[in-house]
Amino acid sequence: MSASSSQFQQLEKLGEGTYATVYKGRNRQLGTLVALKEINLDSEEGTPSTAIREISIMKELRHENIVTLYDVIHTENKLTLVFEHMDKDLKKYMDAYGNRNGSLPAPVVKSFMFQLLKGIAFCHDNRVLHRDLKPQNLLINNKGQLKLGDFGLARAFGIPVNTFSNEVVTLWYRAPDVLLGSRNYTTSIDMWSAGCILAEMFSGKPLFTGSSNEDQLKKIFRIMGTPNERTWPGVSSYPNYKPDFSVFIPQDLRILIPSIEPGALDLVQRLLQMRPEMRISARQALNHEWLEEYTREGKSPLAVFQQMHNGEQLQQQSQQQQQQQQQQIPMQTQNQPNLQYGYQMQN
Amino acid sequence: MVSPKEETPLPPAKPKKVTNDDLYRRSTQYRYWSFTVSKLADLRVLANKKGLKSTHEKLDNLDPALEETKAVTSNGLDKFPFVTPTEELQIITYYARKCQDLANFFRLPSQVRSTAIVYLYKFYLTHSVMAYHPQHIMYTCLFLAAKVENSFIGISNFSNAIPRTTPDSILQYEYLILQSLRFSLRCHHPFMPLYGFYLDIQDLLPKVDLKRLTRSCDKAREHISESLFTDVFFLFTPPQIALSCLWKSDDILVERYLAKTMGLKKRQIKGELAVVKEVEKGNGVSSESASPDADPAENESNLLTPQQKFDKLMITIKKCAHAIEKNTCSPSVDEARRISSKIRYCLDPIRYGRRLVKQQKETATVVVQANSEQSRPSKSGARMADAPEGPSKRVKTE
Repeated sequence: MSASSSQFQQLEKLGEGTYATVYKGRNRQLGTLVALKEINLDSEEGTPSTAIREISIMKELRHENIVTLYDVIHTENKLTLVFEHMDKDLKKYMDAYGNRNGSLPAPVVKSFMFQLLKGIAFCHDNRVLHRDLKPQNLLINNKGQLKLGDFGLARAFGIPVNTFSNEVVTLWYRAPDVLLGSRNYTTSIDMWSAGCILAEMFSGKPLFTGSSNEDQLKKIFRIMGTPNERTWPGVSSYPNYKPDFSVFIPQDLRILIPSIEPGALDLVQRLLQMRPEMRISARQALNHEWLEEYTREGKSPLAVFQQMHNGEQLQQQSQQQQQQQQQQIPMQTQNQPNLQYGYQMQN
Repeated sequence: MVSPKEETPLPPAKPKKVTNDDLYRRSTQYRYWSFTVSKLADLRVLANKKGLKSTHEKLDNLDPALEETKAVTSNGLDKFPFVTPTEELQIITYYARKCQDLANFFRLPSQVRSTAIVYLYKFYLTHSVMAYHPQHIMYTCLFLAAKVENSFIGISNFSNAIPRTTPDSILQYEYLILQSLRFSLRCHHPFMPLYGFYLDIQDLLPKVDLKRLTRSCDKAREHISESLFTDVFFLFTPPQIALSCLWKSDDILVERYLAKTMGLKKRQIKGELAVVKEVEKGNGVSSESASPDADPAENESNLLTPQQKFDKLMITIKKCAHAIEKNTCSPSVDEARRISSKIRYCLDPIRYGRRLVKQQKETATVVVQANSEQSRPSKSGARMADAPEGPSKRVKTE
């Protein structure tokens, strides 16, 4: 951890987060790309808690499906987190390579979902909740690797877990129990988001697009059915429960997401369970039969991208990548062509 | 591992089991902060050398024209009050206890308190008290730990509660500490594993007297809190420390529980316990009770027999318990004051010069009064400086 800010050339802005601005950066010596997350230290409270939280969590999580924090740099009035550079987030990826309606080809969805679940499982194994899973926070590089990013809202949990604020997770991917005001949520909160993301990859558009807490609940009920004491014992004791919720009957997800594969539909249904305790865990989801080709047959989730791109140097690079994760500075080879496999997959 | 029957659906693939040990080995606590005894000692000697160097640099930079500088030089640098590695550890422990008091004052949970104390000890594995006074570093460690462990206290409230601090005086060390911690902020303390053992013991020994178990665990929590002022954090894993602290409060229970976990039969336990008791009496960490009836066929890939496992674990537990008891670093208040004033001289050597000059003058006056004429102030000044620092009025150890 001896990097100084002069070591990196700041390139274009990649995005603006709640507490930080992210730039693309280039290591002047090595020429490698990084993502520079700049945090202003104007705060009267010293380093912001969000930054502290993110640093503390990212230092512990080293996994191929979680973005790597290489370094932290301090200059007089800002703190810069140096992350591994990823080409796109899932949202931009879907915009760029999706089908006409924005959906992704089934093999790509399967690969991304498998990688997403692996990342989540690793977080949960390490007692970390992401709490803000959404396509914008899932980063994708040109090898087709998907990694969880933006742990600004993540937090470590132990027991008990009933003290979390319920103001987390972008509305659209927020679990119904959290929307109903639950404060003792746990890993199941991330599984709901995963279900929403899986549905979205198949349909090309977000599944539940509420504009407020209440509207979000309504949008969920409209599709999943309005819960009652019979379908969800205890639901009426949630703080935000109202006895006069409009009553909807559950819709058939297959009709809403016509392009979905049967295996994937089953997985979506197991993830999008209204009752948090009924949602399957990340480990269970990884064992779902839809993902068998990876779990049992040992196929690489990156194979689909290699096929699409005639396997260009990819295998070799993925090995390199693994070694790089041990080092502090990435030696990543550059100038990889932009892969445009989205449309090629259509047939 | 392929199922022979093809018509029946395959059983769900077994996920790679991630053990708690795996999780711990991935943690920065294990990767960055676990040492052998000698490595830990080396780090502290190195940190001390760094401190000596920084004080020497300060001494070199003193204006030679000043009266104070001359006093320090003529007094001899070998007499300068440098802080020894032992004294460093003593004063750090002193402030670690102050940190505990302060955490209790703010009613912070044990997780925050423990993390802050661990940060303080970690900081001084790369820095010397001669470069940073532990009192200031301790405040910032506690403030940072509260932030990390989600028990945030606003800086103005925090600073208002502590005399002679300002928000800036606390915040100025935050980044330095973050950096010294290598940004690895997560700490695993033995409290959680202790709770795990509490549950597991009830599970494995259903007939256990719950009152006794609860009492033993409460006592163990105290031992754990006390263990924070020793090096065990750097030398053992949290479950080892937890087990060791529980063993300190109820050895029979822990040994029975472990024997059961290892699958030792009842008869064996008794025999085994006798051996353990002997080991204990003989102060014998080195003693190895070989199990003659170990079946080599069952010893696949160097697996230990239950008895060997039991013995091995008991040795670790005892080593850890011994390390907790050995804690002799806590200095008396007077001792702490003495070291603290040395630190202040190291941080700002001109102060030492000032003190020498003052002493010389005082001595001179005394001598003048006594002998009305002749006086050799420098000699008596040197003699005075030789003596340990008296309780200096300036030093305030909060």
